[in-house]
Amino acid sequence: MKRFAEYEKEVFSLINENDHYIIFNDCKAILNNVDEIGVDIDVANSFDCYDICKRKRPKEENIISQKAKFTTMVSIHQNIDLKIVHVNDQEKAMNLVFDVDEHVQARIMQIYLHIDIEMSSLIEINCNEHSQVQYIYISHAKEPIHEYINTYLDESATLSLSSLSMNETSCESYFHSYLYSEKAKAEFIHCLVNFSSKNQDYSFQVDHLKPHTYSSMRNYGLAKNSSTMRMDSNGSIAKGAFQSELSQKSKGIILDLHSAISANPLLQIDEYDVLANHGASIGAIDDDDLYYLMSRGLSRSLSESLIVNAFITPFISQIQDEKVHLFLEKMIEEHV
Amino acid sequence: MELVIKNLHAQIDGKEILKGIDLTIKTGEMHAIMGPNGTGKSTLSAVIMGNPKYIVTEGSITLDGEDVLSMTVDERSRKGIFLAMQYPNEITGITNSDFIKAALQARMKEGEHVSLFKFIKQMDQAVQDLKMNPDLPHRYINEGFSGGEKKRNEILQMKMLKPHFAILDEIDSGLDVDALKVVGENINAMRSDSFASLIITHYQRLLDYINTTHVHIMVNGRIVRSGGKELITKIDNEGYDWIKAELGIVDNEASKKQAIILGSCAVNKGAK
Repeated sequence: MKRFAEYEKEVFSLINENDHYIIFNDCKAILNNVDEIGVDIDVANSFDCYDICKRKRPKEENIISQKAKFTTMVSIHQNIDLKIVHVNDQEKAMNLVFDVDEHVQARIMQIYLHIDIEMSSLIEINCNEHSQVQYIYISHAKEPIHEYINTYLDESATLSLSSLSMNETSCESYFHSYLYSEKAKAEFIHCLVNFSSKNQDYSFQVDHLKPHTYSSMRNYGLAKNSSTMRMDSNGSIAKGAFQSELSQKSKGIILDLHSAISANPLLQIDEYDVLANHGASIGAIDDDDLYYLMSRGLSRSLSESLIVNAFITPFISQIQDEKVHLFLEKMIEEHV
Repeated sequence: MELVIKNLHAQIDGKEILKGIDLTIKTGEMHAIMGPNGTGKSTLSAVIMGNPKYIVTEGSITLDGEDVLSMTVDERSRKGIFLAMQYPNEITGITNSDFIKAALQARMKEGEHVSLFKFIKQMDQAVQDLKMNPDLPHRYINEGFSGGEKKRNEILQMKMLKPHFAILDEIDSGLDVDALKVVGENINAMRSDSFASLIITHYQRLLDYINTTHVHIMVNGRIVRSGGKELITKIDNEGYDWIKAELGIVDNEASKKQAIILGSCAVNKGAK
């Protein structure tokens, strides 16, 4: 086990002077500067004490929630820009709940900086009525990770969720969003980079449960070094959720002959008056894209590198923070 | 500078499209190629640019004596050949401004760098000249662009990269009357002793704004007639039947487009 002091410098290299932050070490919130600005951090022994999951929790999630020694609940009562950094080399399970109050605007950036032990995590984000939540998730795990990220959107709540997974080993990630009240709106961008030579499974699901709900999902996957990746994107529009709109697109690029990506899009539509579309394309770098860039004078290698980096750009463009930008640039340079 | 095409034959998927093209273009000249659908006009432009889908089986293309056919696509571009494509690609994640900056940088010598101030000034001016949306530099390449915006974006790239030989492949398709005027005037404004263009078009409309010096008619993979502006007027008034009749060209029935059944993507088997 490493002591937090060994990570401290690296953790604070991501924090600006005026940032609001919570630092987790081994799944426990050990440092924060948000006590007096409308954010409560509570710790409970049982996950079920927080009744935000308005459904029967599947077995897999129950197993994780019971494995964790405690649950951390972050209640956000005022508009805030919040940075959360995790380092973990001992605890094997984490439960973390964000509850964003009605009419509150919250920007939450969560970074898995050092995950040096195989771990499971269950993260829940509850977006109450008319809240506006931007959730940015950056995962860079060195050991296998098994995670569930569930989001719940109440009436007229909006969620923008962007994730970058650049894990160095196998992982299983499940993102599930429930639009359980009218006019809830969610947009997702997932950038998945697997150069680990291992298998990574990603599953993204959005359930439209009420009328006038909207969701848009864009998934981008890159695989190299004999890696395999599964990108499942599922969407459902329940009976009665009329005039809802759902759009899901997945695009994968395989960068060598020994890697593979599979994309499995699936829609289940139980209402007539809706708009829904999905699509997936997997392949090597598009020859027509290469030709187009090269026809303007860019060499083949530069064109390929631009196209690969372009996969991550939709995620990067969401981040304005200079320190996090530098961290990502370094991480991308090392990996891509 | 001089681009010389001699006896050029090219094929795709084993089918010969170009059947002996001879054409010389000198800087300072504005050439137009007209012709019916499927005669190889776009193939000619793609072969000059080096599209790997096409195989050159005979003939040569030289640029000031240098063998163009042995150059890669990017080398041809850096030598001054530019192709405004009929169907430009959409590439998410690369902004127009980053793309054009990288293309300009690729033309510079080692140790030289694009001046950011100069670049922004030129880009803003080009966007303004083409009456495009000012947010264009920050948008991804052609993503979400209308057909007309894509064509203007091709001309914008041409203005920024300042090629010596610009091939404009049906740049007028998808443009409304006002956009056509803007694009035509911008192409004409490129005229100089170090610039030539080869404009591929079906219609006279675009050529109203461009002072063409040479007009060629292409039929069945060959340039069958070359002349001046009088050819444009004749084609606009009479179509291509007269030239086919003059040359004794009969449309090949087998190559005519045939209707096919596309089928459906979802079949309700239970309904049977």
